[in-house]
Amino acid sequence: MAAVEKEEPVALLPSSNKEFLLGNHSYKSIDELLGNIVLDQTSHGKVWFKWLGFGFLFVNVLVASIAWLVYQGIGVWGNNQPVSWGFDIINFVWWIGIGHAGTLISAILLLLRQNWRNSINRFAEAMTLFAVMCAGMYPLLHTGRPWVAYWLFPYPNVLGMWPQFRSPLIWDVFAVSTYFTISIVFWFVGLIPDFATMRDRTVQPAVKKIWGLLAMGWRGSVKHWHRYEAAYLILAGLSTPLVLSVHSIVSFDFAVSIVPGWNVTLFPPYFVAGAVFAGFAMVITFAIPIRKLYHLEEVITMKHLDWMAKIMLATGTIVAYGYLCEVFYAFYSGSRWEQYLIHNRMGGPYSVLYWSLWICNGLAPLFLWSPKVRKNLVALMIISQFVSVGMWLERFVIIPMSLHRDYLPSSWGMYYPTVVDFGMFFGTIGFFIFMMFLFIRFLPMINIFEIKDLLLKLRHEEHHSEADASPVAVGGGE
Amino acid sequence: MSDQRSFNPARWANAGALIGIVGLVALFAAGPGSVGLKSTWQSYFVGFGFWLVVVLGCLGLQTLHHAVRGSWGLGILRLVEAGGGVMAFAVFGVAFAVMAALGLPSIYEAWAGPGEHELHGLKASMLTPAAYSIRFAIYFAIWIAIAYKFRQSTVKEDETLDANLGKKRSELGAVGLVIYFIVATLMVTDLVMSLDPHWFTTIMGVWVAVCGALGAFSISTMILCYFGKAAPFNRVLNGSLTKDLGNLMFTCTMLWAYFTLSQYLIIWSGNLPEFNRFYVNRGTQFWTLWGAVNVLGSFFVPWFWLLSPRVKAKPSMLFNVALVILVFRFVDWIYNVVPFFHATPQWTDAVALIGFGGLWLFAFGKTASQASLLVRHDQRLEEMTQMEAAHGHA
Repeated sequence: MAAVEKEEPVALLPSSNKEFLLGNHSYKSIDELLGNIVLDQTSHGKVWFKWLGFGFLFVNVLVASIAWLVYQGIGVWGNNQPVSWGFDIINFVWWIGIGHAGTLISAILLLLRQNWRNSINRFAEAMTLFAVMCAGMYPLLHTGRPWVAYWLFPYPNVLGMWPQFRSPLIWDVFAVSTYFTISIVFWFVGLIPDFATMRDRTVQPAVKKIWGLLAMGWRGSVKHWHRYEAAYLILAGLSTPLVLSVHSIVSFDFAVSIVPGWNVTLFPPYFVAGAVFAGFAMVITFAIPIRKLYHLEEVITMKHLDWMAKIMLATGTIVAYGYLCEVFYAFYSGSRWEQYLIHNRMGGPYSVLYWSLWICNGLAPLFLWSPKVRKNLVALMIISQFVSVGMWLERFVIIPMSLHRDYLPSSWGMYYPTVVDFGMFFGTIGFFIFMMFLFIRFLPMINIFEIKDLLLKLRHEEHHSEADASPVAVGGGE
Repeated sequence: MSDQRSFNPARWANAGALIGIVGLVALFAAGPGSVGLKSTWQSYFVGFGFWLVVVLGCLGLQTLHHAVRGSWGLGILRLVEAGGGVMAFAVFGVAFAVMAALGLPSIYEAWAGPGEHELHGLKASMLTPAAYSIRFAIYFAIWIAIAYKFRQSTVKEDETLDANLGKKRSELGAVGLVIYFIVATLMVTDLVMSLDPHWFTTIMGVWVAVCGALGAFSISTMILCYFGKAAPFNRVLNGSLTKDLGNLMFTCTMLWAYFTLSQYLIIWSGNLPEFNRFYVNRGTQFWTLWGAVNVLGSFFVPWFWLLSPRVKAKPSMLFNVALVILVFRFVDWIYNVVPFFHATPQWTDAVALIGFGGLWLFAFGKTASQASLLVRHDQRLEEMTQMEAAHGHA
């Protein structure tokens, strides 16, 4: 931009909201664009059925794997001694992490007054719920007797049972169940105004009734909006610490023990950053095809993807910093166990996975430094896949690779996942896809009223810029 | 607050120079006779380290501001540029050189002191006076280069109003943040962790970054709030800015607690000798009490205080919170550093703190007086203040 006269303020960037809603929209056109995805059931092509069928296929694999597991016991998994935690905990941590982006987008970005969240928060929140459901299956089934999993809660009983509150596994029970509860309430409360929109726009009486029930009598009065805003803000306030606490507690599952490579003080922030990193990779993975499939390019714009990529880059850099710290401090410490752990990771029997981790989480995100890459959908999609795989590998590196060679060489062993392990893993991926595609079809996947609010703000900005003869305020305020 | 208070950094520089010289002369004049030369150098380290972290925090805030271009940084940018500028790093570089030349055997007795040292592997080659000094020379060179680049760019943009400079700073800020964290991690490993070379923790890099940010935020917020009714700060001090600064201090306070609790919980649970020695050494009645007061003042008091929107809206109240945060930065620093040396803090620690505080003030005042106290190229805050005034919220 050319320099202007000294005494005048200069416009650095255009108003940022403009880039988050493209096209010449009205409130009606937004209702139609977003509401008709649900109301016009003929708008879903074959692709939707293909993906739902694909997901359903793996749901069956999941059901079969769980049935076999319950029938036979957890011996059908590859877990052994010394690797008593395998795919179950790897997948648990991986799925919990994926859910974090939803909470970050919904709660933290709301508190930070970031309007760009409006287009992506709804389906990111849905991802949180489905990801937590997938995650929850693993520890539940790992108990061996999931039908008595309620023993994990402190309740009056005659068995003399009481949870071990010093165990982070018990903290997990409370953290994850709280997380799921708050997330589902947050998601539902956010949906209420849109349920009312659906109710008002639908013509079939039976469907209208269902929407009406879900809308809980919403009329859009000032009082309703006032209470809604207050409730939503409180829920955002409750959810925000959960972003930190849930994955910190998950990291404590490892960090509070004395296994080499686990008793690491950096684990809590490093796990949280990793969770957001993985979560955003999954949001991008869904956002790119969905915007294409439902012609939502004007609502989920390139700017959204650019900013998500930037967050992925930032969190990926923190994750890589964590990896570097692990290596550096292992050697700095002078501890032979810590040093051996790094040697084993770099040159042991699972070293391929360790180096793959570096390629996926250390190298691939580096391309995101380039604005051109951030604007290239294919590149973004590929990098997101690398990150998803990398974050799964990270958990493999932390869990079995630390356990299989601990302090006592006489207890060393190898870990090999079984067909049931893979069945459950791919089964949960199928379940996730299945649920996401059901959600896309039957609930408004993009927040209609928040997009309308964005439109209102845009009009307000336009009005100001037209009325004000002086140049536009400077800065991006990202 | 009185309208009469106007910020005159040149006077601060003079006062700072006087305090710095008197403080350090007093430290070395009275310290060796009272607590011994070794303890005097250790106090020197305590004061030097505390203010170095503040200087680093000022640089960190500049880097973060340029990377994200948030309006929250505009009111304090020139203050953190002065607090973490070339002059500040140069002054502390000289102070470090003096310490490296004369004080290392007293401070890092375990590896720089007389006699045999039980160090192996990487640590044996890393922890020598020469290697340590060379690394710090590199750290200072990197910090000075980043600080110089930012300052030169903002001053130039004020003159030319060339918006491309802002974009370049944004790019440099993103890369700078990565460099900043890596260097801060290595620096704190050298500066603090190597006081006991048999102990290590991996969270200290992020911990020191947050401590620095808290120090820098608290000082700049105090200046802004105290002189907020007089020019030039009255042009930018509005409810939105104080809210942003309050929220950022609130976030950093939470992060400090998060890192501190994580470290404590993990070390306590593992109970391994290479880690737990840090807390075992702080297990005396005195340090337990000091630690409890630290947690109270570094977390609970500012956290609950900053929960209130009223506190963040009123500059005089925000000033008080920032003051508490700054005071407890020192309490926290003492808790983390002094037990490596003594059973209790010594009077010389306070003298060193004041002396180095004076030197920092000198560097701060000098740099602050060399350019306008508010950047001219980005006037979002001025516009916001005018808008608030127009709507009757000022």
